[in-house]
Amino acid sequence: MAKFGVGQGMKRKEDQRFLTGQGMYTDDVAVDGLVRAVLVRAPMAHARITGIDTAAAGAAPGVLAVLTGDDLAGRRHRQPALRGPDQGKRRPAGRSAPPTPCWPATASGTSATPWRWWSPKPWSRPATRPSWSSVSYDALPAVSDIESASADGAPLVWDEAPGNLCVDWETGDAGAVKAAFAKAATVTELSLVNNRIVVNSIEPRGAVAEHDPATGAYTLHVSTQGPHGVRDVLCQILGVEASAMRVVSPDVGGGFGMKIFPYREHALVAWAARRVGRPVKWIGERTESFVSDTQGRDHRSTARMALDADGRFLALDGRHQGRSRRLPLALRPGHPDRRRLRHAGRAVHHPGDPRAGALLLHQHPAGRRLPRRRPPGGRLPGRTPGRRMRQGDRHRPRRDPAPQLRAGRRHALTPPRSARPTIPATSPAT
Amino acid sequence: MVVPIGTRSTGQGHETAYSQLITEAFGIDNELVTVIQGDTAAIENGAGTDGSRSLPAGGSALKAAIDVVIEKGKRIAAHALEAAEADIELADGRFTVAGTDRAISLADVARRAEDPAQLPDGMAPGLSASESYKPKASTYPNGSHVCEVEIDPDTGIVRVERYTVVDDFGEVVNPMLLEGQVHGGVAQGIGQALYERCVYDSDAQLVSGSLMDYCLPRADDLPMVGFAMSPTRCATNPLGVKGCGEAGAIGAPPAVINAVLDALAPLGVTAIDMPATPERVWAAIQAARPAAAA
Repeated sequence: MAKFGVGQGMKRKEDQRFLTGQGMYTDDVAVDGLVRAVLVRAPMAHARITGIDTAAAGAAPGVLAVLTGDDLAGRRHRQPALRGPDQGKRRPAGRSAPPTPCWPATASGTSATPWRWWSPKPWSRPATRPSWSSVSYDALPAVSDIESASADGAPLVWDEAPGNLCVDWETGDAGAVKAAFAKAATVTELSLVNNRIVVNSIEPRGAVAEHDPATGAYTLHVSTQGPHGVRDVLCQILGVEASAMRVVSPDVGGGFGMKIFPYREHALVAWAARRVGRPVKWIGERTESFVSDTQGRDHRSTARMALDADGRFLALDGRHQGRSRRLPLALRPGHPDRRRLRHAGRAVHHPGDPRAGALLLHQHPAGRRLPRRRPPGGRLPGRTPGRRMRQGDRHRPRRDPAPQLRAGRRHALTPPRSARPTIPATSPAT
Repeated sequence: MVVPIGTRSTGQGHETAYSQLITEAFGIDNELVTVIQGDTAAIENGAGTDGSRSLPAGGSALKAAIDVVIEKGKRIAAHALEAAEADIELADGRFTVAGTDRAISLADVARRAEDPAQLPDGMAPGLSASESYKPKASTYPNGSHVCEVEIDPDTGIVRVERYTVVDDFGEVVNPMLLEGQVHGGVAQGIGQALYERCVYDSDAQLVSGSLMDYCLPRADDLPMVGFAMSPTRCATNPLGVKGCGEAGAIGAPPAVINAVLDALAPLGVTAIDMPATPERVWAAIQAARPAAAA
């Protein structure tokens, strides 16, 4: 028998590549004529764009194009119907989310994510970014969590969804559960906050798009867990057949579920590559990961369990609220809650279990983080030498390193780009 | 041997695990296996890697393709060796007529497969198979986490002193990579339980929007994780494997919080929300103290 069959703790074959700097991540993809896209994200969570002045950014050295939502009019993604559980009552029945524009346009009706973007020359970080003031906004009231989103009179994320309610469902046998609780010897109750987390993959999201005008075909390299899913959504948005949309995910540095979704940026770089006639790369920075990656958890749950005198489970009655996921194109808000409830039902044997779930639409902040504020007269609290900062310390966001420091910090251990292999334009022989 | 597959490793080591399935089935050396992932031009379809589906679903599809290739290989070998198909055995990368030294290598069979003249009548050329697999049911991994913490009552800082996991993931392809995934999941779960807090202000601005403002666990926050397995073969897929990707992150938060509450129980603390930051733990101790003293 050859070595390393099933059941053996073989070291990773991939490590030879990864540990010698030969990993090929999305940011390593090198193609001729590549330009870099930078996304300008809104500094506030909910606003109406009242105007974008592209003149200053367009005139900056090295800027190839400044593209706004107006350029993308009509490129919309049809959201799948918002789903509750497979069985059970739900309200409202089968409502669909409104079509989501890939890129909010100037003076559009509403916008949770007003962005604009531009493409400087390859690899040169812009010395100065266009000032935020070149986009003007009317700030709108925002909601920040389940409590504020579900409060009476809360600002609406979508006008189509009163109460910011996405779906509200229940399932199980309410009568049987009520009867079980009535005869229970013991009832236990638990309230839980499943706190929201930022996924923080080591490799941020990113994409490199090419468009071949001769064939009309796109090639997208993207850091994703599921290239086929990305392809299918992009085909719908860009109006091409699957055969004209090759999606490649090279080595991926962590996904944890966050990178399974098609994201707006994927559609944007593909569309922009066609628009500017050059391959376009976008690589998210860490702060962009915080504000634009889909985040995890964030549920409020209460559960009651009825037990008989021998400690046997009689019934489970659970209520669960969760936030819809943020911002990926293929929004699937019902999914985590449906799965949770289904498994809860199977794990416990009892006569019936009405389980209710409410999924709230939520205003997802797309803004950059707050500007640093210096306390009056004082030095900024922060990290002191030799001491770890711990959660609970008072601290403020650190200013980004100077551009010249940023340029030097990347790829210190990797060979120069010219020495790296390029991804072949055609598929490997299979 | 080339294995294009519709899942996408994001660091779990799929190239290695799928290669081990090939080695197990054909007895060829692991180095001879090339796994291709993440290219829609090379792979017809795939649901990607999400929710611990790669080995249960992708691995099962690979198993189905392996079975087709072995069956076809045996027919070609039987034809070449002028033997009955039922007498052909596959081991160490060679098809052998049972009980004899007459054999043909897998590579030679693959070469013959490309030449219609050397194939049995009616057989299509090529030694390849394309299979997909849609799971009919979930897998049900299960396990137990044991966590021991120490809490400094003056600062509220929680330190995880010992951590032990026992899991049932069914059949295991690579116990080292599996344990590594559990370690990573436990680290994420401890992070959620003790450190990670997403803070939005009343304008819905993300205040914790950088690694200076959002606390991830670091190496010195984490103990060595003891790990053992108590496997029961999974009945819902042909490989008998169960998902392991989420297990560490699912088990750790309740284990850590229960340990924290157990440590604080003598003070009368009965509930604490995640993350149990020093500030929250300290505040819970302070709130409980007057009541305990009374």
